[in-house]
Parts: sequence; C-alpha cells; structure tokens
Amino acid sequence: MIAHVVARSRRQEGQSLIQFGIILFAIIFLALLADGIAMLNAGVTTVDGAVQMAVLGAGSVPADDGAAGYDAANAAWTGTMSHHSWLIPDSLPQSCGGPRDPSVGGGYDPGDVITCAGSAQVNLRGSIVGMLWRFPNPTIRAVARYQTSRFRSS
Amino acid sequence: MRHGRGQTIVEFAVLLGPIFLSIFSTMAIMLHAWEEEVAINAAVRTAQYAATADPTALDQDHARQAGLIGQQTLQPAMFASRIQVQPMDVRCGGVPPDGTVWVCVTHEPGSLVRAEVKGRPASLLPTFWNSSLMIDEVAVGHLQTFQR
Repeated sequence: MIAHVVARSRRQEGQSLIQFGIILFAIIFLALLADGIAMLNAGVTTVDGAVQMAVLGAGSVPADDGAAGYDAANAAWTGTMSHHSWLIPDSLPQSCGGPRDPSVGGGYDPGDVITCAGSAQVNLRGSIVGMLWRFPNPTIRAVARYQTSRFRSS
Repeated sequence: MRHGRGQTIVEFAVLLGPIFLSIFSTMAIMLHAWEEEVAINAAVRTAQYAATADPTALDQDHARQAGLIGQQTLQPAMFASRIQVQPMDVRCGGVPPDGTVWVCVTHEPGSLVRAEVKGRPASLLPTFWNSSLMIDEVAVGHLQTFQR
C-alpha cells in the first residue's frame, strides 16, 4: 500500500515538472513573439516617418538642384534613423533628390511630385528575439510622395 | 479528500497574484508599444512643422508652435502624463521623472531641425517592474530654403 502511494507521488511530481517546463517554454516563446512584433511595428512607423522627412527635405531646397535635394533628403533620413540601433537603414536611392534625370542635374521642376522610397532591416537576429528568429532580418520598405510648389524658385 | 481541496485552494490563491501581474505586465507592454508609435508620429509632425521656419532665424515662437503640435499628437495616448514642451534648443537630456514626457526642438548644423519626444509615461497598471517604461523618438528635418 505504502509503496503504491510513493510511486504515485513520484509519478505526479514528474508530471508536474513536465507541465511546468512546457508552460515556461510557452511563456518565453510568447514573450519573444510579442517583442518581435513590437519591434516590427515600431520599425514600420519609424521607416515611414523617416521617408516622409527625407522627401520633405528633398523638396525644401531650390528646384533644379538635384545634389542639394539628395543631400537634404539623406541628412533627414540618416538623422531620423540613426537614433535606433536596432534598425539598419539602406542608403536612399538617387531618385529621392527629385524626379529629373541626373544627367541634366537632377532635382525637380516646380510643381513636380518627388517620390522617395527608403528601406531598413530590423535587426531581430541581433536582439533577444534572435533566440527565436533563425531567418534573415526582415526588411521594411516605405514610400513617400511630396508635391512641390509650382512657384518654387530655382 | 478535504486535505487535497484545501491544498488546491491555497495553490490557487498563491498563483492568482503572479497570474494577474503577468496579464497586467503584458497589457503594459502593449500599451507602451502604442505610446511609442504615437511618439514617433509626434516627433515627425513636430519636425515637419519646425522645418517650415525661416532658415536664417529659427525663432522661439515657431519652435514652440512645433512643440505644441507634438503635444497635441501625444495627448490622446499619454494617459495621466504631463507633456512638457521644452524651450527651443534645450535638448531632452537625462531621464525625465515618472509620468512626464518632454518635447524638444533643436536647431542642428547643416540647416537641420531635430524634434525629440522623450519621457516615461505614467504607468497605469501594476507590473513586475516598478518604474514606467521609457520612450525616446527622434525625427530630423531639413529647413525650407524659402525666403520672405
């Protein structure tokens, strides 16, 4: 009788341990998943905001000046993105300086729409989420458009 | 049988606290993620407005207006928190007190303006940690080159 009770007690102890292990693993998994989703969400908003700042920068300089437009867009883009160490920004395409052909100086004509696309990688592998995430870092892309003034000076 | 039931009730009572704390902590993290998103938008809107200033003289009034736009954007998301617009060119340095969020507009070299939203919004729920979580978001804009 006593031997039977002891065996049952041990069996229950083992079961409790397994249950605890499963629950602990599930909790850690869910916490990392939530952290990863929060990082992706913040990344999307940040890249979106940085591209908006970049395209606004490109339109802030005089028309017909592609180099200055690109420099302004790039300064806004890198300035906004550099605050987040977990985001790895790609360089902005030259088209962010304006829609005109770069061979004629680039930039924009007054009234043009400047379209700028920026992208960045969310460094999930370099964060605590890397314990779970075994794939390449996801890339976030955003596009912003800016209608320049028809009365802008060159 | 009675002994077993008593044990179950005690175990349940002991676990109730940590379970509720876990649920509240998860809710606090989700709330923080939302506050962070609103803070990014507030920084972007502040920088966008500040970038329309006169590039030769970014004045205190314009920077204040830009800061107020950030404050208005933050207001619906920062429950029970104080949102303070800092004077122009005062950086959001250091750690703000609990329940306070700063909006800072600074003039940067290269005709740039920097808007920063930094703070620790009031913690509304009991969590595993004592203090509220930090938010720190920045947006940089290039000043318009229009002249009057």
